[in-house]
Amino acid sequence: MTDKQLVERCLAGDRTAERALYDAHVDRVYRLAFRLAGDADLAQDFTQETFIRAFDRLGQYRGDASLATWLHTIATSVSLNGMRSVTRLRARSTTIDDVPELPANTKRVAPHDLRERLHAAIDALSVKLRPVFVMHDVEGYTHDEISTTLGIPVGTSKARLFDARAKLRAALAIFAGDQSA
Amino acid sequence: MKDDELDEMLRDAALTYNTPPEPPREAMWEAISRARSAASVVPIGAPRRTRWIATAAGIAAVLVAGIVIGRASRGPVDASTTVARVAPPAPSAASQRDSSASEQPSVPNEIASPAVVDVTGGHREAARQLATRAPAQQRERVNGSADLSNDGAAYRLAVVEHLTRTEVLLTSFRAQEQSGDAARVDAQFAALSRELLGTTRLLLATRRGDDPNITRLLQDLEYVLMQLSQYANDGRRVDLDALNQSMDKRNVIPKLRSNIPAGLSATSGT
Repeated sequence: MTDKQLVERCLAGDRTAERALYDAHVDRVYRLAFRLAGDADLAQDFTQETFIRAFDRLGQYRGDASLATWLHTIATSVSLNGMRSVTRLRARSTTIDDVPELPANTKRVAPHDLRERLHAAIDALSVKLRPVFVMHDVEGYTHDEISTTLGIPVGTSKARLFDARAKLRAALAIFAGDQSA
Repeated sequence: MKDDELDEMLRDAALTYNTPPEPPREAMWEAISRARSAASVVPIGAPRRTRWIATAAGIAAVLVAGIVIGRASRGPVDASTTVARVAPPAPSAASQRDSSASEQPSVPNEIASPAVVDVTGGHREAARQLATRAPAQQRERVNGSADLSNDGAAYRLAVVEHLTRTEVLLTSFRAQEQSGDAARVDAQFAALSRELLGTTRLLLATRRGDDPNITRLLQDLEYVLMQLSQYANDGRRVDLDALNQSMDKRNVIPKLRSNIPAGLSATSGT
């Protein structure tokens, strides 16, 4: 069954088709939401919100892009907006005591620590760079898909990926230098 | 370290970044179905088969008890001070032309806010009247009757009802906690707090009129309800402390009460 046929059946009120649409896409939507949120509860909320919105707006799906891309556009928008809200709330409630102290000696960093620091460096990427890096290097989206999903030109997607990698490489080089010292 | 090694570390870090667990497919599908059916229009007063009947009955009991105690302690109620009894608009030319129209019920019965439990008919009516207080010129345009089909009015109605339900939840939680019974937060309580959290987010996402006070209050509620859900799920003492700290620091309950019209609050008049 094509995307369009599935959508038509959903619009006609076919609950089986709705479930089929959900089953076909939920795993990838959840993966993307989790990669962006890094938290199971938030990923669950974002995934639910994505499908609620998708079913509400299914009539607006024109079939220009694949249904997966259309869904991922909603998922990205929901996740990034949700994360903005969460970050704002966390910032409002974080006091100086909550900030973890940096270890006094950063030399001789074990490999798993290096990986954790890299994950922290990915977390620290700006809201423009992180989604592109996560979608391309982590989830394997193409630049065309990222361009459609985030609503940016392909060239911008490539440039942001380049910047993100450069920032991560720089972060990694600092710790790698410490390790080899 | 060479560039190749750096790139390899980078690839490795990318693959292990926020590795997702198995998605809770059934739980999410249930939540989606529930949210979609709650969002569909239900006539006011129509029987609603939900699993929240017991919770709604509890909320209604608290509301009624609060109002009864409040009224008993205040003595006879002055009708002019009751928010729900909005004074009728001054007779306009339009309303005089068609006096029969003004006698019609001004609110369409089928309007209901998403995910709102029908607490009691009286309170819903009061909330609806409050929400439909439109500018005088708007009232004239519709022959003296408020127009609930207006998005803003429907939004205000949803907000008032949501604030009322949230206040009941937080007040009962505080009461339970003060009686040393906070650990008895059960699954239904957890589900209700999650549901209210969802409604808060929905109201924030679809806000109308951009009333900054309401937006700030909803943002505070989002945070507090998130902590309450966390505590209700895990039951950790540290979550409870954080929750209490947030509620006190943000003055959530007093703010809620000041935004809920008299007669609707669970503790009004007490």
